[in-house]
Order: sequence, then C-alpha cells, then structure tokens
Amino acid sequence: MNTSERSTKVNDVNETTAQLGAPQRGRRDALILFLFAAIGTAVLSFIFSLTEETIIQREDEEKLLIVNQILPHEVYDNRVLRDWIKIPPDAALLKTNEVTKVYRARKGGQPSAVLLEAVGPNGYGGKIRLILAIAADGELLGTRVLAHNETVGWGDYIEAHKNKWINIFSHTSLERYKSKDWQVKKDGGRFDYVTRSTISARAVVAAAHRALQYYEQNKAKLFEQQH
Amino acid sequence: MSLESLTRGLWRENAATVQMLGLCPMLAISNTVVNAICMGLATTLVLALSNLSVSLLRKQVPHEIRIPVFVLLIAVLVTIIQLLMNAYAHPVYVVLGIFVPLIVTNCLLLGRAEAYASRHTPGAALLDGVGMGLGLTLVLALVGAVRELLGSGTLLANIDLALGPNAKQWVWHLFPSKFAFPIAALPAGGFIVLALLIALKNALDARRERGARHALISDAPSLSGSAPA
Repeated sequence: MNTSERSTKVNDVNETTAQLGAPQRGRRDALILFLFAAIGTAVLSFIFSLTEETIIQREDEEKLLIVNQILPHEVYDNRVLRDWIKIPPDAALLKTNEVTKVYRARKGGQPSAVLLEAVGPNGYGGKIRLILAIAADGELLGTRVLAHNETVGWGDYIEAHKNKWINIFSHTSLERYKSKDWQVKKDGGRFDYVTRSTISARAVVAAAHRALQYYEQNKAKLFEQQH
Repeated sequence: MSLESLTRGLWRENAATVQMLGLCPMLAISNTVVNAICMGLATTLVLALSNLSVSLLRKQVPHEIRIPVFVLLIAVLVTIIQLLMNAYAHPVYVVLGIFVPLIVTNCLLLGRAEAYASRHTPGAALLDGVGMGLGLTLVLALVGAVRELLGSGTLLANIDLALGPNAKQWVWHLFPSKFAFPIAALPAGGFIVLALLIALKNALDARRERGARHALISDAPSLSGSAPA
C-alpha cells in the first residue's frame, strides 16, 4: 500500500504545481485542457460515425410506422421516405416556424399523396404537431399527432394509441366538409370531441383544416420540386 | 474501498431523498415506472463511468482546471450514451427525448466527481457511482409507480418500448383512466410524491434511531456485551 502510494504520487500533476511559475502553470493547464477537449472530440466523432447509419435507419423505421398507419399501401409504389422536399416555414396555414419535410407518394410515377407536417398552436398545453396524409385529389387519408403537451388523462385522447378519435379525419376533404363544418360539434361543426377537453380537439381540427387549405394552394409545387 | 461505497447511495446518502441533487429533470420524466427506470439507469451508467474516469484521471488533472475537465468528461459520456441509445434503444430514446442530453446538467454527476471520485481510488469511485445511481433509480421508480397509478390507472405502461412488443402483456390496467387523478401525472405531482417519500424515509430513520437509543438505555445498566450499532 505504502509503496504504491509513493510511486503514484510521483505522477501526480498537482505535486509539481508549486514549483512552477504562473506563466508556466497557465501554459501547462491550457495544454492539458486542450488535450482533454481533443481526445473527447475524437472519441465522440468515432462513436458518431459508428452509430450514424443505425440512427438514420431507426428514424426511418419510426416514420415508416406512422406512414403505414395513415397511408394505405395501395396508394403508392415508390419509396416515400426517400422522396421528399423541404418547405419553408408557413405562418399562415401550417403554423410552422421551421423548415419541414414533405414526403411524396407516387403510384406508377403519378403523384398520389403527400405527407405534410402542420402545427396546431393553440392546444391546451401549447403546440400540437401533426402529420397528415393528403391524397392528390385533396382527400385527407389520415392524420397522427407527432408531439403534444396536452394533459395526460384529459387531452391526450388525440393520440392514436390511446383513443380512436384521431381517425375521424379519414376520408374528409374540403369538398365534403364546408368551411363551417371544420369545427367541433360544440361550435357548430361536424367533429366529435371529448367533453371537458374540447380545446385539444379544437386545435387539431383547425390545424387539419388549415393544412388542407395549404395543400389546395400549393399542390402543384409540392409534387414538382426536386429535393 | 468497501461495500459501504456501494450501499450508502441506496439509503443513508440517497441522491433523491437526502442529497436532493439534480431532481428537476428527473421529476419531469418520472411520470411512469418505465420512464423513471430507463432514465434512472441511463443516469446510473453515466454516473458510474464519469466517477470511474474522473478517478482514473485525478492525478493528471491540475486542481485549477478540474471543473472544466470534469464537465467535459461528463458531456462526452452523456453524448456517447445518447448516440448509443438513439441507435440501439430508439423507442426509449424517443420517449425520454430532451431528458437524455439533459443528464449533462444533473448536478449529482459533478457533485460526485468533485466530492468523491476525485479523491478516491477508481474501484471505490465506480462503486460509489453505481450505488448513487441505483439509489436514485429506486426512488424515481417509486415516484413513477405512484404517479402512474394515480395519474393514469396503469403500471408498467410502455414497457414494450424498452423490452420489445412481447412485454406488452405485462402492463397492468388497474382502473380506467377516466377515474384517474391527473395532477399526479403533472410535474406538481412529482414534487408532491417525492416529498411524501422523503417524509416516509425520515420517519423510518427517526423511528429506528429512537429504537436504537431505547436499546442503548436498557442495555446500559448491565454493562455487558457489545454496544448496539
């Protein structure tokens, strides 16, 4: 024990500190800090390159899980997750404040549907992020909530795995539902909601309505652009 | 280096109920048992590794710059865990979200690095990290269980995200969520439940101490045998 203590003390950098002048100490500390930063960065970039591919694959699988829920298989034959464009933030209709991806579904080379992200800014707990599958003819095929902060046990029925509510959007469109229909029943529209948690439903219905309007105004652009 | 390094984190110096370090992100994510345990174990892993590396490098780090070096070490470790979780435990990573990178800001990590690991041998530091982490995980899991049960009427919800779809049958649905008590699932519920657990621990400790003192007094006149611990 004693011998090992003595031998390790020789290597202790703090033992020599007192013998150094301030400039030397500063240079030594800067060098040591730099070494730690350099080694840390090297280790991280190694781990990053090791995991990068797997992470992209996992993220694709996760998206595909949602895509499969809202986009019927017979609608497309392309690799939807590889056919995307970026669209700028849209404060008016999508209420997004960052660049989002739009995925395009095609069948036999012909545009068949898009997957569009939209935000309902006025949920009970703030923003509700949605993804919507809209067929080329403007029919809403399905939608899912990507993220929300609604109260657990109250407003979270907008999540597909907790409640079937979100499926009420299937087969709706601007054609079939007039402007005033795009509200919850309480407000005179055609959409069900859960009593005591109307605000969550209201936010999702309004966001879906606006997203369909966005699609109507931009559909030509959405399919044509190359990424 | 002794078993004491490992066990003191579980009860006497428990990170959540005694030291009360780094609790805010922990309480935010302890709304279900599965979340709490996943977050607790991720933190334990980082804590054990950061304690170990700080202890191994303690003689190479000048005293004046030890804090930036420790922060750097912790940040590197957390980022490694984050990347690995994202790649190999993706569903759990998605659920824990921002709270995984936030492990960096958990002051328990820097606290143990500075107060313990930088002054002890690597073996003791590793055990200390594991003990502190498991103690934290245990309390988080208890908080998570109470919050999940009261807040949504289930136990072990989302366990399939951690252990695969076969585990889905392990979820207990004790009562429908419409009878639940939503405040338990909200952040305020985390603080309330933790406070109750701390009170319970203090009550147990006080009772044990009273018992020990009582035994000491009744033993005293005989002046024989060993004193109770």
